[in-house]
Amino acid sequence: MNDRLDDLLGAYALDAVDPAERAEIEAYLAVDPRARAEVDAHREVATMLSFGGGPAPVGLWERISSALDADHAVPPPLRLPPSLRLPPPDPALVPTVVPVPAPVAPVIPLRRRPVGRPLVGLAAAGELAVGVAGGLAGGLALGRDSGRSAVSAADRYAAAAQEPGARRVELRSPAGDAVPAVVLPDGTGYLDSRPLATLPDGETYQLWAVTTSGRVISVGVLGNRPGVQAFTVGERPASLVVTKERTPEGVERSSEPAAYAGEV
Amino acid sequence: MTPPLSDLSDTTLVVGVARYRHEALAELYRRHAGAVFGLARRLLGDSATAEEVVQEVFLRLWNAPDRFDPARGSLRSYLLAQTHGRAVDMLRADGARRRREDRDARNTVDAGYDLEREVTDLAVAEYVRRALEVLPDGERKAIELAYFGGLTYREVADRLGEPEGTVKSRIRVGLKRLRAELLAAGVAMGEG
Repeated sequence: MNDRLDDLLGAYALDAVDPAERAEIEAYLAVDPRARAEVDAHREVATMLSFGGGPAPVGLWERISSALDADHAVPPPLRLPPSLRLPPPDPALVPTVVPVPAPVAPVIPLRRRPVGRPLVGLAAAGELAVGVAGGLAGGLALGRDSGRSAVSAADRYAAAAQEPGARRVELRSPAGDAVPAVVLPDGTGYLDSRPLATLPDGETYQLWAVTTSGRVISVGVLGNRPGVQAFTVGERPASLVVTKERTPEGVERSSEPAAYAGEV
Repeated sequence: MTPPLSDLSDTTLVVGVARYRHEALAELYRRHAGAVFGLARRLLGDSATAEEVVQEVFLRLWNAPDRFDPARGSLRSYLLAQTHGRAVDMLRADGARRRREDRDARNTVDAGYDLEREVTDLAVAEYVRRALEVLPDGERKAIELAYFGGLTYREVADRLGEPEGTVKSRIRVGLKRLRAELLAAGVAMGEG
């Protein structure tokens, strides 16, 4: 904390300091988040002072539009604000290869069903086998969005839904309740599990991905009060399934029926 | 089915800008260009120069959308901070303040303006007017001279015949007081 520079924060927010002071304050803001937050708050107030501007002149948008880049045949790398970038999958969540002793528990082949119809009875013929093939690591990004962030859950979800190739999925329960998800071509996506009911302490929801070859892998646990979570599977899955598990850590092999399921 | 652009939040549209989508920038322009132009024109007193500032601000958003961090505030706040900074730089660089004293007649034409936001703006403007009335004269004058006059706090101190330390404090305390008044009146801040 620097009292001398703190006294200048209001003036700085209104661009009312000289260049040398501006440089000094910017160096200060880079290391003091409290001061940075104060400047941001002052600027929001200044925004209020500017309300009631009126319309922009005719023809100005056309001049701006003509100065934009031409459309790209191959989209260049995405330029996302830092707080919207999907974090890389946490290695701690990536399931390790589980050696399966003989006799091998059968991987339940998934019959493809029309979109929207629940995959009930997934575990009826046996357990969900958990395994990982090369390149099919899955993971949930930590940092469940509780809705308190300035970047709302709706923004994150909506941003992913705007991506080219994004697929909206509805995971449905046998009763027809829906949990939405967005899956991108590279296997990343968001699950908006806010519609799920809170489970008792000691239980958890768990997300599974079913690959096109029928293998079932655990993507991760959602907790007992889930929100919007990013997830990563090594490739676009064929289906997503949510189960309710009786342990907070989730399970490697599930004997629970699919609570919600949907085809991608 | 993809929702219409007008239903998407500013943050979501910025993601669209990051994907080089012209229509996302067009929607952000529709929402915010009026406020950007209004502030630039008020500071510079010249429509042509104000238009240059609008163009710069939106092209900067197009070229560097990752500079906007929604965790730090609204997109409008970000755009107006960019506008104010650029306009003040121009004021101080070439004495444009003198031209601002001889204001043009307003010559704006409605060009797809966002009427809903105009109504909201007018309502918020009324809250702001009331909040400004609550400020002590010294704080209000210091903020107005600094923000709309483009003066440094030293220049404000000179203009008002007050010590520089007093002016610095008045600006800071006045902004905090305004924020408290607006929040108490239920004005939402930091949302896009």
